[in-house]
Amino acid sequence: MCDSCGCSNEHYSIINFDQTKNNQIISHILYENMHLHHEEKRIEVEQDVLYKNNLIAQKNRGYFDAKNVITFNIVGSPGSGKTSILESFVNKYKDIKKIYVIEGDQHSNLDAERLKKYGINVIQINTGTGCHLNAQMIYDAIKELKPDDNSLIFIENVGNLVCPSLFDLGENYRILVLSITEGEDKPLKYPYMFQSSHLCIINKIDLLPYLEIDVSLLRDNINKVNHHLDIIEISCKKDINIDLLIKWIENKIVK
Amino acid sequence: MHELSIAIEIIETSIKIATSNQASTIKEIEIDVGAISGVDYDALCVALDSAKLNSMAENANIKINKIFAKALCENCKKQFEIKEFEYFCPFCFSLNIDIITGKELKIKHIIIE
Repeated sequence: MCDSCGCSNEHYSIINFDQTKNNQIISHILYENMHLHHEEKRIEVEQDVLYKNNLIAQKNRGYFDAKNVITFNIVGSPGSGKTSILESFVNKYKDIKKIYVIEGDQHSNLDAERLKKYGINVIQINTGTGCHLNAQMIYDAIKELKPDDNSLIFIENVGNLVCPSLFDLGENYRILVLSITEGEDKPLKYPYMFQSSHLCIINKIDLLPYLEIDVSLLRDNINKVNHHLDIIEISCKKDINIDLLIKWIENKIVK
Repeated sequence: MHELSIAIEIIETSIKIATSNQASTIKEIEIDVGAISGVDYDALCVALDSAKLNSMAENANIKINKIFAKALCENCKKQFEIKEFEYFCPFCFSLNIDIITGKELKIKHIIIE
């Protein structure tokens, strides 16, 4: 009887064949009173699911830190005005500091073309079916970009108010762009993005006379979800409050 | 939609650990998912079913533990559960709170053979 499990298997033998010599038997070991078990093994993992992404993000962060490059991750719904805001900012700031832009979209390089007009270095990442940028994509992009010391990098994420919130890219600050046409309930419906951001830009404020939106209610809802979030009301079309955004970014650069 | 990338990450990590332990199949994977981790429970279940197809984890039993979101009020030092994204203390209405649990998204253990 088997000593380990008590089964009735009396003999268990291992026969080794030499495959190079026409399967000649080279050894025949007979085990008495034991046999090999295919045992289940429990392995304690205790590992964060996003561990791999977070590790690469920290690698990016270290690189940015060493070169004194400040990075901003611009997130928001499609059509909220992420690229327009970047255009307004780049237009006013490109002579003061060197600016690089990493553009993330599922398809096309339309956004990259829009920003290249201002004479800055732009890299377009196409995620294909992917709904967000991840740290590895940024790692690959900065290898190609080779940013100068003391510069600014803007990463425009894929237009999406859900998925990019979970993926750290190694950025210093996250800027959320929300347009007033999206409605005042968005912070409550998509709280994760509002929680993980540092600045919320309320865009298209020039449309206020034509819409039935309560901006103070929108601000209340933002505060309910994340009361640390800075809020700036902007219109890049009519050039309203762009200087407030520049001031906010300058504040972060000095730090 | 990001649940699929997360599901693939879970399966890939488990397979990596299993193969480094000379296993042939994965029998069980246990994961913790917090209520405010940003991952939808149902979407993750569907995504895991597709992610494990044609792999050594194909027949693995997947256990998902839902972890409640709990916070501690810095002001009145009381503990409470966060519901419906109301990030304030229900006792003293302070906004100064510390989240204790609910952000988990990790693989607890795997059982291999």
